[in-house]
Amino acid sequence: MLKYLRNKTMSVDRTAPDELTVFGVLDDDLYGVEMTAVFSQSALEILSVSGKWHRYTTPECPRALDMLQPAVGMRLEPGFRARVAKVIGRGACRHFANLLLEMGHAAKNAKMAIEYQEAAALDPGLSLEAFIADWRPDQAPPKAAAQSIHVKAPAPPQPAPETPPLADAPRPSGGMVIDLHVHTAPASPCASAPIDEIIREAKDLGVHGMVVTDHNYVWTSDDIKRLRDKHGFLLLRGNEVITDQGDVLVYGLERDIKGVIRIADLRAQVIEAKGFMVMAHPFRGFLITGAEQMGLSVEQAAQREMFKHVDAIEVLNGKVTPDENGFAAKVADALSLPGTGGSDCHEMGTIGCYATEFTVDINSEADLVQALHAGSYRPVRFRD
Amino acid sequence: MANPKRFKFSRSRCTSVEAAGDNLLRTVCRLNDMFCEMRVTVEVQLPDMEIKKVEGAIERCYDPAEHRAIPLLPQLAGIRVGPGMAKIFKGLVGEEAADSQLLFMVEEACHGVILSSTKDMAAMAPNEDDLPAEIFQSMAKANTRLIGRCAAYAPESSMVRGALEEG
Ligand SMILES: [Fe+2]
Repeated sequence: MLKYLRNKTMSVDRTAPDELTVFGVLDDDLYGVEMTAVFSQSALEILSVSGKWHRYTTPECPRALDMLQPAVGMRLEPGFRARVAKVIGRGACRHFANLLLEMGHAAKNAKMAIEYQEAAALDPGLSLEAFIADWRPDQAPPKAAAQSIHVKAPAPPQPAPETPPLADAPRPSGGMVIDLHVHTAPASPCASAPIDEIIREAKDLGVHGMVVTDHNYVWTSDDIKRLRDKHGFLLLRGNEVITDQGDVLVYGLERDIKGVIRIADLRAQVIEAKGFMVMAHPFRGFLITGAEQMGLSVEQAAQREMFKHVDAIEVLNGKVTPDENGFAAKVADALSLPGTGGSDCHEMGTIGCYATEFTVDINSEADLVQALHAGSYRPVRFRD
Repeated sequence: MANPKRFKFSRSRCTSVEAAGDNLLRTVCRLNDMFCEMRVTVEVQLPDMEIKKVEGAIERCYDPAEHRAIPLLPQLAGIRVGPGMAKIFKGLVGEEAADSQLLFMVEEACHGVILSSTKDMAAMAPNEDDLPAEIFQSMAKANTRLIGRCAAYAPESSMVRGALEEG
């Protein structure tokens, strides 16, 4: 039986020589929205946008209509998708964002259709295949200087409050406390805190050390040494690698891995380097996607392929909910895999919320990897 | 040349999710417009939301990049539907197909699976018109990742304000 159906229809009219008016409807079992957007045909720039709700799920969904205007001025160029997702998806509503992306794509195809018709009028033998093979959306002349478009500044990013700490997470008891999962700017494009400021904050808090685990980025040992000396603080290197099974924290592997790697291939490299692998936030998004409501048991979750390739599981992560951390801890228990803790901090104010407490002294990356293999640590809640 | 005002471009995209037996969902995304008619079918195993099978089909399409993407789609089997999946899809198919419409259709199909589970959850709740604001506030409080995710869960929304004040 059918469980869910979503229809999206786009209709593009050429309402002026350089204007494509796109009317879009998104309709499914939960949401009903419609939008009208006018694009310039030459630059595929959004000149105006408006929307309407027909069906929604919370009493505050109508607020989204006031937040659509920052789309005006956006162009269909590289990065359009990410901007729409961020500015309209987060500022207004992701279903409006989804519809607007579809409308943008329809506008681009409409432009291609118009330009093909024009080209074929001059060269009747021109096949659509040949035309498409050479076509670029930016071939058209750029936006005319006389065309003045009011571009609204994008909505400021919404600060997400910190996840409430897991109440029953253990506190440190005199060991060496290291935050094993830290992102810095600009090494991680998603992070906003510069490394010097994060180190200062960690020192002020009383964290004994931290490991920078920037996404697919390897710091040079010279940079790390310079920062260690400058701040008199234990700074170590790790990496957060994107695999087909999700994000993996890697310690003791000095290799720059680009893009997405199969977890089994990463495992082979880490074993060769005698490094250590931790499955990062394995149940992030678990509640939003409703897997729990579908009755995923700890035993079933423990069967996941990812856990066959790691040495430990991150069971205290500062970016996921207490339930998601709690579930990860149960799975780690079921598999008899050790648990680690890390803030996963990307901005100021979050470093050290969770960390890992070691019972041995750690002064180098080699010490860290050795202590991880020896199992002389436990995840802790450090900061309130 | 034809009157430019008579120009019209239309597109329809339909994503459907059906129960295919034994905790298996089959989700299909279909696209039809002036340039192409394509279909992507994804099978997802519950409750773990693991992709078991991905298949693309082209009925009509003039873009060679889409034809090249077809053999790359089956390798997406094994990935789980959920946050971060788009990044993994793109990384696995590589540059050749990362921007293909077919890969986007895989994503749309997988979003359909997430939305179908949201629908199941929503169906269990009474009509939201009858619900007191506290219900939504406690939802925001229980899952703080919702906060800042959209206008309804913006910090100044009544659903969030109440949750933060109480907290
Ligand atoms: Fe991270």
